[in-house]
Amino acid sequence: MAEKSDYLLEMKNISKDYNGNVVLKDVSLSIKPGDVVGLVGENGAGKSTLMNILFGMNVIRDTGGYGGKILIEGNEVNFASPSDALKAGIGMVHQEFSLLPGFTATENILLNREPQNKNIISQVFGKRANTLNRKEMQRVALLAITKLGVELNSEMVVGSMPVGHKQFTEISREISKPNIKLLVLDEPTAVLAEKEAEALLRSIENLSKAGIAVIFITHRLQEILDVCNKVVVMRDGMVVKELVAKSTSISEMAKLMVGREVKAQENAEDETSKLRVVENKPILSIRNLWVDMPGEIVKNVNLDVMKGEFLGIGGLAGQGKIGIPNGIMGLYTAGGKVTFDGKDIPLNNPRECLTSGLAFVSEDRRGVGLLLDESLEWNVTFSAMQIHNKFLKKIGFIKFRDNKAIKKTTDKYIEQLQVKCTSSKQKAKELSGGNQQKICLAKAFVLEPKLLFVSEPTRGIDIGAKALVLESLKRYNRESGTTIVMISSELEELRSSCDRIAIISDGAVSGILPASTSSEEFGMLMVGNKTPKEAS
Amino acid sequence: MSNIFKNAVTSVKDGFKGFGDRQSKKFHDFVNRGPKENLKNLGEFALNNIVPIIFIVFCAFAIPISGQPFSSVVRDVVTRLMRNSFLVLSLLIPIMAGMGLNFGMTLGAMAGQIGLILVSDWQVVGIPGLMLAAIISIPISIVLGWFCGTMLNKAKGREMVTSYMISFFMNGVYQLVVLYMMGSIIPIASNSLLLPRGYGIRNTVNFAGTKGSLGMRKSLDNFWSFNIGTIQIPILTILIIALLCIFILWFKKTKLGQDMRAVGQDMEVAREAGIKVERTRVLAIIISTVLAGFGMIIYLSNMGTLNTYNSHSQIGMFSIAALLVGGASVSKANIRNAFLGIILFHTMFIVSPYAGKNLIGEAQLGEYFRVFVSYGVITLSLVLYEVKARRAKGHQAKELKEAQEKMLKNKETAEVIA
Amino acid sequence: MSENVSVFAKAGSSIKAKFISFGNGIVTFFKTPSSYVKLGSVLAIIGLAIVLFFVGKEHQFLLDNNTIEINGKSYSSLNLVSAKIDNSDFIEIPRRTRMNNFQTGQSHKITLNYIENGQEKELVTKFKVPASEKNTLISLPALIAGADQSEWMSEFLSVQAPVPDEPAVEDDMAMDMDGMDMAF
Repeated sequence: MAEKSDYLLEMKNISKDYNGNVVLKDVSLSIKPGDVVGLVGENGAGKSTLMNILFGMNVIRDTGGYGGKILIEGNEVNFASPSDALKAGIGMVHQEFSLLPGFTATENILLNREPQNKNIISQVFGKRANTLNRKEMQRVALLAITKLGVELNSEMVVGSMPVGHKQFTEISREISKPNIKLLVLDEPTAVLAEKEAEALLRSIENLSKAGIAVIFITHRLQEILDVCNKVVVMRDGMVVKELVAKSTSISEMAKLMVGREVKAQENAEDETSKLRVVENKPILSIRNLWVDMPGEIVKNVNLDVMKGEFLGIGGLAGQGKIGIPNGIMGLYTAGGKVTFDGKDIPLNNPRECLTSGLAFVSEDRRGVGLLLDESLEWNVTFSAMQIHNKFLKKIGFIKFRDNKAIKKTTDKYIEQLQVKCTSSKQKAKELSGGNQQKICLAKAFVLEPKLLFVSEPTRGIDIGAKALVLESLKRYNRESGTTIVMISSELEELRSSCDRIAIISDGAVSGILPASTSSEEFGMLMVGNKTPKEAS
Repeated sequence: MSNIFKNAVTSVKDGFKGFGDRQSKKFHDFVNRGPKENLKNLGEFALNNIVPIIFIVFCAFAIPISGQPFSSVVRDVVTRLMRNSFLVLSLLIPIMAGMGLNFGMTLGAMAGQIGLILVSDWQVVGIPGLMLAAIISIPISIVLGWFCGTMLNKAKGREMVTSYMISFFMNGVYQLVVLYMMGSIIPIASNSLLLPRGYGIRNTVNFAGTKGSLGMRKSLDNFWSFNIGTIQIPILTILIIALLCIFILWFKKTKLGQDMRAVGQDMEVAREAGIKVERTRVLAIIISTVLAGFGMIIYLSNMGTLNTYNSHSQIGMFSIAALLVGGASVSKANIRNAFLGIILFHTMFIVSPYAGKNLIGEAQLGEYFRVFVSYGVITLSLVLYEVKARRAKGHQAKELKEAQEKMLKNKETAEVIA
Repeated sequence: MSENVSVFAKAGSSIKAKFISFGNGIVTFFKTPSSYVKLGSVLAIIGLAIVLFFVGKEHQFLLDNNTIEINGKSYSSLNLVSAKIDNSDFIEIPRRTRMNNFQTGQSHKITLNYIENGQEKELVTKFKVPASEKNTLISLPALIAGADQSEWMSEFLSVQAPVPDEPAVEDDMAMDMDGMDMAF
């Protein structure tokens, strides 16, 4: 690569799939020094994967690498680890903080880059026996904090900081690196209060003036208009369009993000909501629920689920929505009070939950949901056999499996859910992700629960299967009157299927609105802003 | 040289200053809180320090019952403090690196013992003998520590049980070396060390020196010491222990120390920052093993006799129990815990046979009691640690919520004022 | 199948890479000045160990006051002699006896007090013992008579009697290690 490129970063024709599920298709992106590029798209549009590829994260290599080329200043690179990316001058601030709770802001900012003092022992034992130069550390950290233009106590232990300050610490760490050329900010303002967010946006402008390029991933479209000069919109693993920030609008970006089906969905929804009359009688009431699920901590959730309703639970990743069913069903340590069908449900006791008529389709299909080495029949009927003694016939004192009934039921669901398989005897691991998801649903349906939790039912499955899964959930809800609580990161999916949608933000319910409410209002709730109606 | 000394002095100074500041801050908080709050905090304090409190109460009862004069109890405790401190302090660094209690310190003890056996065969005596034994133990400790650390890296999150099992496994290797190879492959000349069959080391090795020989027993303690009443204060031993304490304080301020603290908190974050996590963990174990080897040499020189096939396996258990009695936990331990623990644990050790004898007429009962207690303490501490960790997690969610509500309120009032 | 092959190829190349990096490691070791400091300190420790070995090596001196015949010359035992080696206390060695003295190191100084012709005399002699020599016999009559060092000093080769095995603690649960200096 002899010629010097104008571009700081070029990503050419990047593609990536996870076990056959295509998540990125032919994505190209180019950035000049000092550019601020907004990267927008729904959850699952492929933004995070793209960034993981750029940083050479282990996840990518472990799942078979990627296709396409990455060039930095005209030279092709292929980072073997995030630290290689750092050496090349690319920094990233993740949505999940990678901070050490027991260290101060200074220690975190300069983690593994501490200025040191030599001493005689380090002459013998090497550089790691150098003592830390605390004064210099303080100075460098303060410099970075000042450059960012935020208020942050450099000597405060990170564990006792408010979320916003943790975010500032992360960003300070990246900009304190001497050769930083490109900074990736993944949802940096999602956890910030308005004032802090403003300060951050101002500091992004400062960085841009100093020649540092920024990739800014956010759901708050207004912020894109405020600071970016270029917007890249992604949908379903592809770049839909590149826009010039000055000449676009929120509605244009939103339209491109959500894409084709907006209208059709809204129509369908109107139609169904007319038909629906849901009793105003709670079947499940949750009071002061907390769940200790790593990455999805639930702090204080109060929620009533009406009998026969299809309730959606939405919110951004990491805010705690997935923790709710996992906590209630006893997969993670939880506390609080949960009343179901007039009875208190003991927490941390999965079996008790199942016998009292709750069922759960986990987001972790391969880990919790399926017995991968067993046949479809066995997968579909196993829980029902265990919990409700179904599919068993009694001859004398000994119980036998009723193989005929098992086959009949499995075949029924295979047909109903259009599972693509050779026979009901096929092993679960041989199915694709979408079909595995269908088997998980069948397994739950066989239990004939009074209330069904479905967590991320469409994660990682293709669009055709998505529609089918959602449709069968909806039909099941309508036909058998089973209450369904669906947790999903994709708002449009919730809006098309549910009656009401609760939005979880920061481990608590920030609002419950009918599904017909506009996306913008849900968006406001997701980022923790209560609507005026709710606040009063 | 002066530079490092200066560093060490400032680090110690900082340590004291930090301690003082923390204490005064605590006092300040105490005064500023209401009495009800303080009572609650007192309860919290008691729960956090339940093990030392149990031992203080136990000692307070057992000392009078034992009928031993206080001065003789103090004398024995001082002896044991000098004898065991180095060993217990060697446990601190792996805890800092988040690897829990290093049951693998037994490996260092083995290395120290091999050094001492060789040195006493060569008839190198006194302080030069001890120093030579220490030098011999270093490469053995490094190899064993490297092995142990590498194994522990393959069993992350289960370091303690793994290091415990490694110590059993290595005990077999140690026996192979000492019982079969010494005298046959490794030349041992002295008949007083070898078993009558001509190879293998006897069950007991005496460092006291017989028939006028000088030996190594107490050579460190007697080199420079003075007496307070009947209590011998060995200055050189105290200086060596103080030097180790300074080393540990200084070590916390080094790059490696900082890396270990980082690795101890979150391996993934440390790795992302480019810290070589595995190497850091191996180094923590190697340092601990080498120090344990030195500690064992100091310990045995004070004892004067080596129980060739038992001393090392017992010492690991007792050192860990002592540290835990001092209020340390799997994830947190400091120098204060080590000294307090040795004092309390060994007071219990000294008085309980007498107390048992006076109470029931059976000294044996006291003996059994202290065995029961040392294992019991380790079990209790491990269980308490888990319980506390769970409680803390539950609280965490709650506290976060409260803190955030508070922040929100503050913000609102600020807005109102504006 | 092809996947497997590539896996092996990768493993092979990584082993090769390790060898190469090892080689490079050696080269860089000799290029960086701090490596010499490391090497030097390792050598210093080994040197210290050697010094310690010689300084701390224990020697047994058998101070002998017997009539002895060396190289055809007879030295008769003395009536009254007391001796000290280095800084030990004076020991009296009666006629026809032999006394023990333990010292460390190789260079020594022996001081003798004896009566000759009714006069009290003192004789100070400096000498060295080979490190390998465990027991050294010093013939006091020969020393006082002014014989050569090779005559009054000789290695004492004793036949070591097998020492009976001491009883050992068999039960490792007995935990008597701290009970050793207790009353029971």
